[in-house]
Amino acid sequence: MKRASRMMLGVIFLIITSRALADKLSDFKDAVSKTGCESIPYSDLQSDCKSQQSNVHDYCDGGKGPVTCGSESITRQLKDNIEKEKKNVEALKEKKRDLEDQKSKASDDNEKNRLTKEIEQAEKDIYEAGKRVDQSVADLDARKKLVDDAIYTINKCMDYRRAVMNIFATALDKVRGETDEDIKPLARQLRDMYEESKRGHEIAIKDKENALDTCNKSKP
Amino acid sequence: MEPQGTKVLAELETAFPKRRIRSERAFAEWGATYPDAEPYMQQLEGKTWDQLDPAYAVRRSDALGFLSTKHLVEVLPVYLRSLVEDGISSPAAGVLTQILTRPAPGKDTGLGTARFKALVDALTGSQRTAIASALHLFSDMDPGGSLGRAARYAFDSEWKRFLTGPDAPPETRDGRAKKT
Repeated sequence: MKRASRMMLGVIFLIITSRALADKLSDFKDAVSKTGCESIPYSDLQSDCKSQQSNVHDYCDGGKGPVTCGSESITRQLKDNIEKEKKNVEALKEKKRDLEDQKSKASDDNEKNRLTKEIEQAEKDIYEAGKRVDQSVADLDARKKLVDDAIYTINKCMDYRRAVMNIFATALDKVRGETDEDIKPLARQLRDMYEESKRGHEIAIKDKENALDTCNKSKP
Repeated sequence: MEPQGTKVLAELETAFPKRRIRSERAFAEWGATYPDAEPYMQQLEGKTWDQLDPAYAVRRSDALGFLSTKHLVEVLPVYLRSLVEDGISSPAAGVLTQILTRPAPGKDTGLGTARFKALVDALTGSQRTAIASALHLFSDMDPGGSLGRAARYAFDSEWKRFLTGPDAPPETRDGRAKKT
């Protein structure tokens, strides 16, 4: 009786093992004909890959915030603009002081009237130039916010891109370790596929590293 | 758009023929693990380069590092056009300047030496010139910035030698003069 039970258990074990192996072989056959995350024959890694790739889309496509700061020269131009507008205000104030000085020394009424009008115009110009200073400061503040937001988004984007690349690195290690004779040829194909496309991931990550560098240099 | 931009766009139009793209095997050589391979291939299938959705293409500029050489040549004008039209706002500028930079000796950066050579070999003379023009124009748009410098570096690394017309930058014309 005991012997029969042991035999039965052995048969069940064999059936389960061969079924699992058949499923695994099927997963590998599927994987070699697929691209992207579906080229991973391990369900847990494939699921992680899809999940991380969804995050890549969210953070790298611009949906969660800016992913580029454009050129560092934009910040430089905005700062220069503030300086230029401030100098302009100072020049106008100086002009107004000169006009007031001239007016105080003028004895002719016509001359006084003319200078009064010019002083009024200078005051208007100072007011307008002041508004331009305020606008320039607001533009720089907006730039600072964009740069800060972009730094956050790009960092997240890089994290998720690296996560996807690392999942393929893990999958590469696993396929290298496959020992079953039926699976080995498929594992070799997958190994080659993963190795050949690694550079694409590196280029995408390098792009974001460069974008981050530009943003860091763009901080006001 | 500046006249020089219009001229470069015309060069791209002329240099890159508008053939229907067959997307099959677009990622078979170098891009099996590109997570967006399937939707990207669907976008390409049966379209000519000027029929592709430029917004989608530039958003997926990461595809450039995974595409086969043949398909890379077929979609390149879409990305070059974005450089010219969108300038430093082009989302494709970073990846494009990377893959168009010849790897420095001893450094297997960007596409890598073998793939970069395959790309240059797969291009016609007028296509190489159009690439040179687009990179040169883009570098002039952002002379002090990282993107402009990257474009300039790519231009100097390979494409400068293909820009030899009367509009070529002085250093290129000098180079040609020295050769003759």
